[in-house]
Amino acid sequence: MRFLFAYLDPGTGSIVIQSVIGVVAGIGVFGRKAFSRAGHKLKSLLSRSNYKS
Amino acid sequence: MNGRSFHPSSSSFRDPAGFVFENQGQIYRQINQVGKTDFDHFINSGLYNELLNQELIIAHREVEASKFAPDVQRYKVIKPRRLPFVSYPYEWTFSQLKAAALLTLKIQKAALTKGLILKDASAYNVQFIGGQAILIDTLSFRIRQPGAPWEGYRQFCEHFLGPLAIAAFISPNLLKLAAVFLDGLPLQLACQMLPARARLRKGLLAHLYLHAAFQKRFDKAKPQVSAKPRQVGELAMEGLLSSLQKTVEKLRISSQKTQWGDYYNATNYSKAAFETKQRVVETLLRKIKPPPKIVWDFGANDGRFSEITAGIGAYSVSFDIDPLATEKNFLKSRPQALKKMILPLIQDLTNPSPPLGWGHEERMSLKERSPSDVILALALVHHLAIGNNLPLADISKFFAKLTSYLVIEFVPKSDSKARQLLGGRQIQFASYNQTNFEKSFGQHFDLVEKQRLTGSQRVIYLYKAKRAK
Repeated sequence: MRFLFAYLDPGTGSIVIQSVIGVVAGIGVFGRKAFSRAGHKLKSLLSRSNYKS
Repeated sequence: MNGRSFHPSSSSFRDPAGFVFENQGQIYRQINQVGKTDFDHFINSGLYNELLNQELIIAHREVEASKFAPDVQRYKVIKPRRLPFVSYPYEWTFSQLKAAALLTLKIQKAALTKGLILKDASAYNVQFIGGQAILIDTLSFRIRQPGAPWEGYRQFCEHFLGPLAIAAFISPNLLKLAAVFLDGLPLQLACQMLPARARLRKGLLAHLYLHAAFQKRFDKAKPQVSAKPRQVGELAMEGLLSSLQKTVEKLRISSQKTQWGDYYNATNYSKAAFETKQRVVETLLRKIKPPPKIVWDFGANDGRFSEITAGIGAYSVSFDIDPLATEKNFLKSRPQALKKMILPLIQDLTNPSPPLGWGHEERMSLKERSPSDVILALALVHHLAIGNNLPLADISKFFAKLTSYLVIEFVPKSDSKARQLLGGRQIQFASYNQTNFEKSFGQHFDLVEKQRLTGSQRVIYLYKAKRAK
């Protein structure tokens, strides 16, 4: 149903593998984002505590 | 034929959202009612302007549709900017195909932020203006339904990733396979060709090897009506695209030597003699009136004479048979203004690109893309006549079909480069001399001027094609 209007045959195997790779690679993206957010937060906390002292 | 009639381009029949057509020598794109919502969102979301500002997509303007013959399916007609020269993936170097792949991924990422997705990933949707890759298919965008996978993922792997991997791991010469597999290199075949060590790259393992295995497992399986459609969430799509980008970026060709890759370093020209040749060529080119708009430089090597033709304002298509010399040409550092005017392409003149695809009409032959204003054929004729046994008269006839003017260098048999080609075959090429050269080219061209290069027996001619009078 989803590809009712697709002019290109996306291929069942290609759809399945892309969802599998997407999940694995997506976890990596999520991890990197979470790590970077945590880093920023830590940095801002440290700089605030430096300012106070 | 009336002025309102329109003829759909023979390479534009796949997408029901619209098609390219020609009317009175101009190229237009029709957007059908079916493609209305997607096209409007593409424009109104600001994606078109964003891509245009970064020079990632071809510019277009809307035109009054009523000037064409009526069509009930029509929504709008747009007129894209005309490309100075159309090229195809089987004429590109490794880095050109890589640039086209990365462009596709960059545009896909930008589209996703606007709620759109590229519905395909054909390498034929990308063209080059000089060194810049741009997307030419304005109708490639579709509104993305939440969780929808990328329909063009397989096409991306077959048009870009597979060919780039075999070029990197085996030989850049294999990029020519694109002319055989016009709709992309089957992944199964790419995996069979690749050495086992390619599996050690996790990107290739996933996008090529596992992808091919999943195709084998699922593509021929009976569709299960009750099966839940696969979802690819936003984070997963971001991950998929990042993984593809990293995999493509990591692919490189080794800097192995080829016949021509090191030509100018290994040549027997002194610096002064080379500067004289450059000056003579420029002087002859400046005699052409009106100044040429498009030049085809055959045997261009790293494009240093194309820099002269581009410098006088002509868009210069810089052809060479050698993939690494052409690669060097593409990657050469040049001022931006010059980079936009030079298009390096791989082309074997003894076997030029034929018409390809459905009805022999999807992809144009080299001849169909002519005429050029000028052909530059420097240090080339001895390769064709001696290296490939081509009669001088045939070379002259072929060039006359392609161009209005010809700047050609005659290299005598006494020249060290010609001697290398001759080997022990002196007798066989008795007719290869300056007199016969002038006689053969005189059949199809009028001589405008000739200049002997000082300190050499080489002569450079400026000819005007007889039909160009």
